Formats: sequence, structure tokens, C-alpha cells
Amino acid sequence: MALYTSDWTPINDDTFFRRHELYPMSWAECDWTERTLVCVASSGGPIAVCRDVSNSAVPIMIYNGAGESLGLAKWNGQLAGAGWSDDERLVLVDAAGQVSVYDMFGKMERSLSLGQEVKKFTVESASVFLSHQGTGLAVLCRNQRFYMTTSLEQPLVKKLPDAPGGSGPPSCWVTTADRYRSAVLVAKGLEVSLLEADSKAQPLAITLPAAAQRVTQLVTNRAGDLLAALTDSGHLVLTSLDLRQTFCTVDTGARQPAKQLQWCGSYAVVGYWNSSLLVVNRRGETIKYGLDVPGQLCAECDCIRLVTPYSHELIEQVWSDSVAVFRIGSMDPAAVLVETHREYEKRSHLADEYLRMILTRLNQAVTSCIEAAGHEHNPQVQKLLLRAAQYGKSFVSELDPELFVSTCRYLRVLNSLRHHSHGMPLTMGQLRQMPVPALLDRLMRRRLHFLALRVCRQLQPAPHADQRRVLEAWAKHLVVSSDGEGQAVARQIADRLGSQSGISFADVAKTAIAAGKRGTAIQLLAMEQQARRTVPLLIDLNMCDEALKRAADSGDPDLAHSALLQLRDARGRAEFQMLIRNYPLMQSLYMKYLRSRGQTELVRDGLIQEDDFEGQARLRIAESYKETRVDLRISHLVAAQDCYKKAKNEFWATQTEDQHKLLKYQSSLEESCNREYVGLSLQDTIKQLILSDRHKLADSLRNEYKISDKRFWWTKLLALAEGEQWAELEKFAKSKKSPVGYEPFVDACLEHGSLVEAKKYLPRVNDENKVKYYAKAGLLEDAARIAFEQRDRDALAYVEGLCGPNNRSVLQQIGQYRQTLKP
Amino acid sequence: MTSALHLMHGRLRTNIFRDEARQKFVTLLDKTVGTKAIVWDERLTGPFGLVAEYSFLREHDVAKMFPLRAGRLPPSDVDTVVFLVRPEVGLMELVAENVQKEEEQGGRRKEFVLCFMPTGSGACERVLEERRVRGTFSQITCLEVRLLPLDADLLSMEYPLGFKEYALENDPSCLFEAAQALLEIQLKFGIIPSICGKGNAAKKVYDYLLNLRREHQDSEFPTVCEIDTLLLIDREVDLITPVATQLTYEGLIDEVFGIHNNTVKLPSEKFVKQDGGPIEMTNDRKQFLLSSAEELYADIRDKNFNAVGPALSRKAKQISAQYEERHSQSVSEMKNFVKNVLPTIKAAKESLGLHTSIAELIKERTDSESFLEALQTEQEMMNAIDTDRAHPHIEQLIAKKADLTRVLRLICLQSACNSGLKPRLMDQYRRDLLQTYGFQHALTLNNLERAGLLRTQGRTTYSALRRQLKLTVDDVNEQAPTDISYTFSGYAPLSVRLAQLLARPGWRSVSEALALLPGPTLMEEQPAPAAARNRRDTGPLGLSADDARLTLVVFLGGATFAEVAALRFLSSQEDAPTEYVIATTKMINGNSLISSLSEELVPVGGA
Repeated sequence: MALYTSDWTPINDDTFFRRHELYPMSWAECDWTERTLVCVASSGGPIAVCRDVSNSAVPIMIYNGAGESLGLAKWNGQLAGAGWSDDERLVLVDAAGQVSVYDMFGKMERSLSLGQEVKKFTVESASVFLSHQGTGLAVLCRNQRFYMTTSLEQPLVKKLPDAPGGSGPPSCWVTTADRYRSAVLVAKGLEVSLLEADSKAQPLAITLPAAAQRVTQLVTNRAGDLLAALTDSGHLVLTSLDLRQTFCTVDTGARQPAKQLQWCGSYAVVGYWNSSLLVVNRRGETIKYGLDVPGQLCAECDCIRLVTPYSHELIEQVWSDSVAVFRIGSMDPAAVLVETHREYEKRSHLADEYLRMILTRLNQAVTSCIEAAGHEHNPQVQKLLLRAAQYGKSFVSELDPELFVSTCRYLRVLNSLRHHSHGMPLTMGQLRQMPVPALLDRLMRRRLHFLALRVCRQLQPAPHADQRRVLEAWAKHLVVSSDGEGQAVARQIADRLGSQSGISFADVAKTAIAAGKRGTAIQLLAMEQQARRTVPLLIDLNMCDEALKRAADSGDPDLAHSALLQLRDARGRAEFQMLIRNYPLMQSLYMKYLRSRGQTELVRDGLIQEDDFEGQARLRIAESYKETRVDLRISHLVAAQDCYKKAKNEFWATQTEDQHKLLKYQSSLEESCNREYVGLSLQDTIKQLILSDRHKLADSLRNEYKISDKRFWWTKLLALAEGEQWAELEKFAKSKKSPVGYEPFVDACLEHGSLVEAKKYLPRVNDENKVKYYAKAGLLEDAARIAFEQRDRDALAYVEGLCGPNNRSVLQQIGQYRQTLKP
Repeated sequence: MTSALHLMHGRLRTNIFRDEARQKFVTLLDKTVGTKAIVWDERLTGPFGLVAEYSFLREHDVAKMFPLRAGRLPPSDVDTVVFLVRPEVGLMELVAENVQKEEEQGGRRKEFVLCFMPTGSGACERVLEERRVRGTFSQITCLEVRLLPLDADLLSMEYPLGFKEYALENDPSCLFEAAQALLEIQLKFGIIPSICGKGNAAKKVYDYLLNLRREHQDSEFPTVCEIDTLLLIDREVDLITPVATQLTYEGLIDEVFGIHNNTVKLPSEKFVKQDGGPIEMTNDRKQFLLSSAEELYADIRDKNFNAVGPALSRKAKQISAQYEERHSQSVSEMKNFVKNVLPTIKAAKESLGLHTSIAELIKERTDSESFLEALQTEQEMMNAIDTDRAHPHIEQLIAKKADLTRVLRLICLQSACNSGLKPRLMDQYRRDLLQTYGFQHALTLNNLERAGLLRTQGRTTYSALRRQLKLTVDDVNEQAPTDISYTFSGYAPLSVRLAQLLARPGWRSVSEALALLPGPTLMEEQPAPAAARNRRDTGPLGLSADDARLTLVVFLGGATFAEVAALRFLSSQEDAPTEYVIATTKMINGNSLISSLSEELVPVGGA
């Protein structure tokens, strides 16, 4: 088994450290000098190398973890600091406080300034770090003041409080962040303090060895709760940041400051001196590794990586499960299980023997094997361990399969990520900590869409949102990176994804529009189902007809209105009106909108354009009622009449004409006699005339407007009854035979309370209604008599029904009639 | 929540619409700070009364409620003013004015919140921008409530001007909202496998629904389909029913007094307590809630009014019999009686008293000469007797300048029953109306023409329809009906007849009649998602296999109580092929339909 432990070094009896190569570097960056800048992004991110930071003509080369080139970034000015942001963008800070942000392919994305004050004092040194709000940036200016922003997305540069310990330059400083805050740790001599924005400097009373004169190096771990301090006397102090616990103080023996000092997870600190690496764990135990080329350390949450010109290595404490399995002479059940499986493969009877040895602890053995497999980088070893676990599993009845399944899934992902073409050397711990969407983002940034999609399927049993995001990003990338604006791209996307993928074609189209690829955008929009997303873009693309059609078809009033207004703004009123005329629905919605905004003239314009004469006429009629002056009202009505004529609507033309004539007549009437007429209906006008004894005028109106006999009689008799002009009424009734009968006369008289007058007309009531009308007038006796005379038994019963207790005599009479009528 | 219990007993859990609306409303209120005043779009106050009573609002810090009016808000010292409006451009001017005046006035700073129901509108917000008040609002949100349950089997969108919008203004907003509502229903109760419909509006709703489903293809629909058939009926298809006088008890209450959001206001002098004191003397009208929660009302609401009297007296006898039982009881039984039975008897008695009074009020009206004459006229028209000529009763009403809406209803009925009026008659009616009532009604007439309620004779269809769909029935049994024609004492509402024929024997049997009705006929199958199964296949889920089918009838443009009654009658038949749930854009009757289309011009100032 020596094979597996060859790269292990014991730090004490039970604990080992392991240093192994992840990749031989495929780059040609061999001669690192003092002036070479190497910047390694955490979590297996990209590596930036600038061979000579003093010369801005030398571009910054960007590589993946295996040294495969990703791109190069051009820069200028005087570099004061560089680092990687949390979303893997390269951040460069120059002495003037100008910050430039590049993507990992070296394309400059944006730049921002840290403000006048920083510019004035110029930057001495800068640190890009992962803050509690994303990516932080702290700078030390030549005035010995610190400035910091905790986010580059929404930069808010704040001056930090002065560090105690005199005005001289600090002996060292470092940024630190935990989940809730970001701060700068600074040492001046032996005084270490914590600087936070908007509060006072907090001194940290670290217990330092007596020999120390000053602190030369400070560093906190990734979680921001542990601190390591190196003094000029070569003592390394490991303590918790809150100083509740001091773990150890170790004399490193080195007199000059370390080139680099970093935490390895939270369990050890690695110092880098000229030709050696010193690993110090929290118990103060050490290991020394030789290093004969320059290197760059990168701290991770569970290990440390070392990048040298020739290789990319990883140093970590060997996990206890791996120790259990691989430690030489291990009798741990996990180790036995591996041996058992080996014998089983050899078809040896020893397999059975071994298995019996660990049968009771098989559960633990299987778990250890699985965990150990997760921590292995070599797929062969992973397989070996997983097979052993699988073999052991079959002898355990109650074992949750989840760990095995998820470890397999995660290992598949890890192995793909670690492949040198992708160069992302993540550990199992890092991957499990990373949310899947964040991992996908990282892959999509590398334009590894297909890998992202497969990772998605591997890690998320239920697909949807994330998968859709990946597909969309792929489509967008394809659109932007394709040549020309041809339709081939759109077709390719459609062919690959189909319309059922659930991705928003509109969003992809938006990208296409932004990239100036009109043809592609149009094609893409044709595939989008959501009208709400499509229509505004179609208008942006000048596809007005298509936009109007989609908006109309959707039926969504809000969308239709927005489209109309957007289009009107974009195209100007005149062109807009020509555009919408082919879409009746949009046209009418627009008209309704104008109406509800009270924009009458625009409404009229629309109606005129469409030759909608009836509409214009209606508008005129409505307007006429908004005028107070009669002449204006009339002129609107004349206009309306004109419109109706054009519309060949004779009936309404005549009616409008009648109305404006009537208005004219009424207003002249008002002048001649002191009474209000304007606004009355024709019938009410006649009635008013009759009531004021102007029968002649009433007659002439009747003739003028060709009112039928029947209606005139009705009007006149009701008017006379209302005015209680009984004599006139009687005269009128006798003027000729009533075309409406005499029932209305009776009704009218009764309604105005004159039974006497009613009686005058009762005899002339039609025979068939007589009984009813006599009864109505309360003349029950007569009603009964008439019913008898008409020999109508039903009528008799009707009258009988109307009789109350006061009509005894009538009831008797009815009884007699009934007797007589008996056949 | 006790007031909503009756909603839970229907075939569909319509109460979830109420609970949801309430929940959404509370979320809205609780998102705002401090005490609140709500400024209501007046059309929303009533419907919301069904969801959230005032005491409930008070619990959520609503101190004041105002109707949305022009000018200034009444003074109040609340922290937040919430405007709750339909997304209509016209209302925005009012909102803007309110806010501006309130800001000018200074004083205590208030927060303003604008809430659209059911969805926001960019056009509206633009108006606010133009009026420079957009920024004054701390929130502009929407309250996505589209359906409110009026009863366990009846949902309303409370969209009063729906018919006018699509029939007159070519504005499909109401239909789009209906499609949205149907999507919502399907998201709750599963994909409806079969969709039928008649009329242009039905086709549009169907198209919109298809669009929406495509847009929501990722949404998860329940796997059980609770509704089997969706029937979309465009009001345009049946313009006879709404203008005819409804003769069911509930229909008549609506015709005479108007039922709004399940409440009716009645003259209070009729309602005095038995001990002599009036219930409430503050108003001359007293408000009553009518719903199937009241057992007696549930029993009689859908009866022909002529059957209500006997039903009431039966009930009276039953109550007194129950009450008499107490004499022959032991002490413990007596105790139980006082504790459990007596309160129910008391409630029943009160309910009986109430409906006896209402019935009397209605009887006064139905016995009146004018009512009987109008009814006779209607009957003649429905039976197509002399519909070619001017009807003397109508002429007389016009001459007497009777209530215009009543006259218009009769004329519209004649127009519908004569497949349009002869041109000469049309002109005569219109001229007479204008000359009598005045030219200010010109646009009203015009609107009725354009909406198709009033038209000149085209293809004669009514007689064929009457025959093929058996719209008129001679021997109606009002007491123990055997056909839906009892709801109009002889006329079977066309819309419901269509629903009935769809269920049995199917529309293919009446394809000729369907072709005579306006608009396209829809008979579509909707593919359900693979996972969805029909309710009847899922025996073990506690649903018996012989559960009747369920049809959702959607009235686009409004439904009348008589139609609802007729559908309930069909549901209750023993051999009913399907049960019905009803959704409508709004509960309407002839009066509200006509007045929604009316546009009386009012002259400004004097001449």
C-alpha cells in the first residue's frame, strides 16, 4: 500500500500532510523574477501572471488552473495591487486609485475610481479580497490612511480610522472578512489593531514573544476567525481573532520575513521562505517541505494550493477516513474492507475470512471508504474505494444509499472540472459548499455551457430554473459570438432547444438586439410565446406590424395600451395612425384611450381618417350637449347631420335636422314668451304650449314634425288633464272620433282626481273594456250591470272579486244577476 | 369566517376564491404602514363587501373609507391612503387630482399607495407620470383577484361594463380577464378537457385561453380534472333572456328592488319586529343579505314566484308543527329542545317573516296593472304574435312617457323575437322615443343598435329557433316544474337551453339552430397534461365512480338570476347528465343591461 502514501508526511503520530501535484503547468511562464506578479483566484479559479509589473507594455496573461491560456489583459499606469473578485473577474488597482475590472478572458469590462482623496494621496498598496458583501477592496495611501469599499458592484469608499502606534508606515497590513463584516488588520511595531469603517480602531492585544520588536506578517483564514502573526524574531503566533484562544507560538528559526504566509484551511499555517515551505499546525507541530523554484500560495477553505512555474500542487492534511484506509499497517475496518474486496476480485477465499473480521463494523467501513474516495483526486483510486464500498454495502442491510449516490455524482462533476482543459482543481469540500447555481455561473463564465448543463443534470434531479438559465446563456453566447446576423443562428438554437425548453427567446433576442443582430432577433422573437416580452422588442426592432398583431392577438389590454403608446412615441402621431388602421382592435382601443383622456380632437382625427362618419356624427352630438350657447349647439348638430348624410343614414340625418330645428324654434319661443323651452323634447314642448293655451302653435308643430294622430291625441289629452283644463278636454274629445279610444281620457281624469270628468267619457269607452273601466272608476254597481248586460259571467266574477265589505249591495246584485244569467 | 360556510358545500370549492382574495387583501394592507384610508373605485366596494367586512378591515388598521371622487379627499389623519381601482385610464385623473390636492394642503405627511385590481396598467401609470404624481406613490401594486364567489355554485368577475366594452367599443379587456380567470380556475381544479362555446366573445376567450396556456406551459396543473366541460356563452347569442322579466323569486327581487352583491335594500317600514319596534329606523331602506346560507331562501329562491306563496305557507305549518312538538316531551327532551331546537326554529321563523314580507312587496308589484300588461306583451312577443307591428302597449307607454328603460326593454324584446324590427317600425319607435323622451337619448338608441339589441330585420331566425330549441312551452307547471321554461312562465331561456342540449343529446342534434345564432360555434377538446387523469378514473381517492359530470357555464357579458335558477333546476334533476357551476362577468338584469349601454347626454348649464 506504500503506493498511496508516498506523498504523505507525518506531522505527528496520527496526522499526515499530503503534498501532491494537481497539474504540470502547460504554460511557458518559466522565469519568475521579483517583478513577476502571480495572482491565483481561490476555489480553483484562474491564474493571472504578469512577468514584469513595472512595465505596462507587458500584458497580463490569464490561465486556467492547468496553465492553459484563457486570454491576456492589457493595462497601463502603475500597478498598486491586483486580485480576483468573487465572480472571477480580474481587478487591477493603479496608484491613482483607478480600478479596472476585466473578465477572465482579459476583456476590460468597466473601471471605477476610488475618489478624489485616494487619487490625491496615491495608492501605496492595495488588496482585493472576498468581503461579506462580495468583492472588497482596501488601499493604503501614501498618507498612511486606509480606504476601503466592501463591494465593487456598488462601490462606497470609506476612510478607515487611523491605526494607533504613531504616524509612521505600518509594518504590515492585511484584509480580513467574516460573514458579517470586513476589516483591515494593521500592525505598527508590536501594536496590532483592527480597522473597520464607521468605528474606532480596535487594538488587538496579542501575546507576542519578548524577543519580538515588530510584527512582520499578519494573516487570517478564509472564515475570518483565526489569526497568524509572524514577528521579526521569527516567532509565529497562532490565535483566534477574538483572542479567546492562543493555540501556539512557534520559533520558525527564520530571521527574515516570510515571502508569503497563508492559512491552510483552519488547521495549519504555511509559510514560504526562499527555498522552503514550513507547515505549522495549531498544536505547534511542523513539517518542512523543500521548494527550489519560486511559488505562489493560494489559501482555500480546506487546503492550500501552490503554483510554481512548472506545476500546480495541493497541500492538505490527510482526511481521517483516508488515513484509516491507507495508513501503512492499518487494521481499521475500512482498510480491511479494501483488502477484502481485493481478495474477492482475485476470487480468493480470504475475502470471506476478512469480511467476517469486520462484519460488525461494516457500516463504518463502507462510510469511510466512500468518504475517502471523495477526497481522492486520482480516478483510479476513487474507483478502487468506491468498488470496495459497493462490495461492502451489499452485506449491510440498513444503509442510507444517499451518501454513496451523491459521492458518485459529485466525483463525476469533480473529475470533469479537474480535467486540464477546464483546470478547476476543486476539492470535494469546496464543491459541496458551493451552491449549484454559483457553480453553473462559473462554468458559464468560462463558456462551458455543455458542461454546465451536464453538471445541472448530475446535481439537480429536478431540472427547470437552472437548466433553463444555462440554455439561455448558451443561446445568448451563440448569438453574440456568431458571425453576421444571419438566421442560421436562430435556427440552430431552435433546432437544439425546441420551443418547449422553457427558455425565454425574448431575453435571447434582447441580447441579439444589443449586439446589433436584427435578423437573428426577429427570428428568435417569432419563437417566443410570451407576448408581453415580445411586443416591446418588436417595436424596438421597428417591426411595428408584427408588434401590433401580437399585441392584438394576445387580448391583453395592458400590453395593447403599452404597445400603442410606445409606438406612438417612437413613430410620431401621423405615422402611428397610419400603422394602426389595419388593426381594428388596436384602433378602437386607442380611440377609447383618447376618449377617456378627453382628447376629442384626436378622436375626431382618427374618425376622419377612417371615414367613420357615424362616429363623427356621434361625437358632434355629444359635443353639442357640452355647449351652453344654443347657436353652438345647433352648429354641432348641423355638422352631425352632415356626417349622417355622408354616412347615408337617412333616419338619423332627419332626426338630427329635426332636433336642431326644434332647438332654433324653442329658442325663438323663449324670446317671445317668458318660459323655458330649450332642451325639452318635442312632446314636452307641445305639452307646454297646450298648457299655456297656445293651441295653434302646438298644431303647427304637430304638422311640421308629422306627429301621428294617435300620438298627438295622447299628448294633448294628457296635457289638458294635467292642466285640469276640463272644458278644453271635453271640447277636444268631441272634436272628432278619438283615434286612441276614450279609455285614456278616463285614465287621465282619474289620475288627476276627477271622477266627475271621468264619468263623462265612460260611456264612450269600448264595450270590451267597459266593465274594467267602470270598476276602475269605482262604479262597481254600474260595472256589474254592464257585465250582466254583456252576459259575461267572467266579468261578473271579476267585479265580484273587487268588492269589499262595504259593497254588500253590489254583491247581492251580482248574486241576482248570476241567477238570472243561469241558462 | 362563518358567513362563508355555505360556500363550502358546492361541487367546487368556490370558497377558496374568497379565502384567497381575503388573504391577498390582507397582505396588501399589512404591507403598508400605520392607519389607512381606502379610497375605493365605487364598483369595487360592493364586491369586496363579500370578501372583507368592515370590522375585518378595521382589524387591519383601516380607519376610513371613501369613494373615489373628483376634488379633494375628505380630511382624515391616517398614515397611508390606499387607492383601490380598476386599471382604467379615466380614473387616473381623479386619483391624480386627489393626490395633488392632498399634497398641496400640506399638514401631516401621508403615504400613498395605488393598487390596481386585478392587474396593473402601464397606460394608467403614464397618465400619473404626465400629471407628475407618479413619484408621490410609495407603492404601485396590484391585487390579483378576478373571481368572487356569490354562492357555492356561482362565481362573478364583477365586471359591470363587460358587455358594453366588447359589443360596443371592441375592447376585449373583459374577455381577456375572463380567459385569465379561466386559467386560474384550471390551475386550481385541473385542465378542463372539453371546451364548447357559442358566439364571437366565446371564440375570443377560447383563443386567449389557448395563448395563455401556451405562455403558462411550465405551470403545474393539478392532476385531477374536477370540471369536465367548459361552456362559454356570449351574451350576444341570447339577447332575449336578459330583457324579458324574470319570474323566479330571486329574479323578481332583482327586477323590483335590485340585488347587488347578494344584498337587497327594501323599504324599511315593511320590516318591523313582532314586538312592534322597528328593526332600524335610521334609513328608509333596510339592507338584507340573501344567500343560500339561509335555508328557506335556498329553497325558494329559484322557484317561480307563483310557487313561493304555497312554499311559504308549507314552511309556516312545518315550523308550528315543530314548535308544537314540545308539548309531548319529557323534561330532558324539553331541555334539549330549548337548547338546540328552539334557536333554529326562531331563526327559521325570522327568515319566514322576512320572506313573507318580501313576497308581499313583490306581489303588490306583480298584481299591478302595468306589470300584468307588460308581462302579457312579453308573452305575446315570445310567442311571436304580431311582432311585425307596433305593439299598442308599447305605443301607449311611450305616449305616457313611462320609464324609458322599461320601454326599451320591451322594444328590444320585440326586436329579438322578430329577428329584428321591420324598418318602418324601427323608425317609428326610434322617432317616437326621441320626440317623447328627447334627443339626449340619441346616443343611447344608437348604442343599442350597435350592440345588436335593437336592429332592423335581417334573416328571420326566431321562429326556427323557437321551434327547434322549444323556446316556448304551452303547459307550464309553475309549482312542480318539469322544464326550465318555468323561470319565465312559458319561455325557456335560450342560453340555458343550449347548455341543456349540450349535455344531452349533444349539439350535433341542433346544429341547424346553432347555425342560426350569431358567431362561431366551438366544440374543442383540450389536451390535458400527460399526468392529468380524469376524476372518474380515480376511484380510490374517495370520489365515487358514479359522480355526476360537472359543467362550468360561463356567461360572457352577464347572467341573470333566472338563468342561474334554470341551471340549478337542471342540476337538481334526478337523471341530470351533468351538474353545473356558473361563472359570469357580472349578474345582470334587463335594467342593468340597458343602463350599461345608455349614454344620456346632459346639457351643461342653462341656455
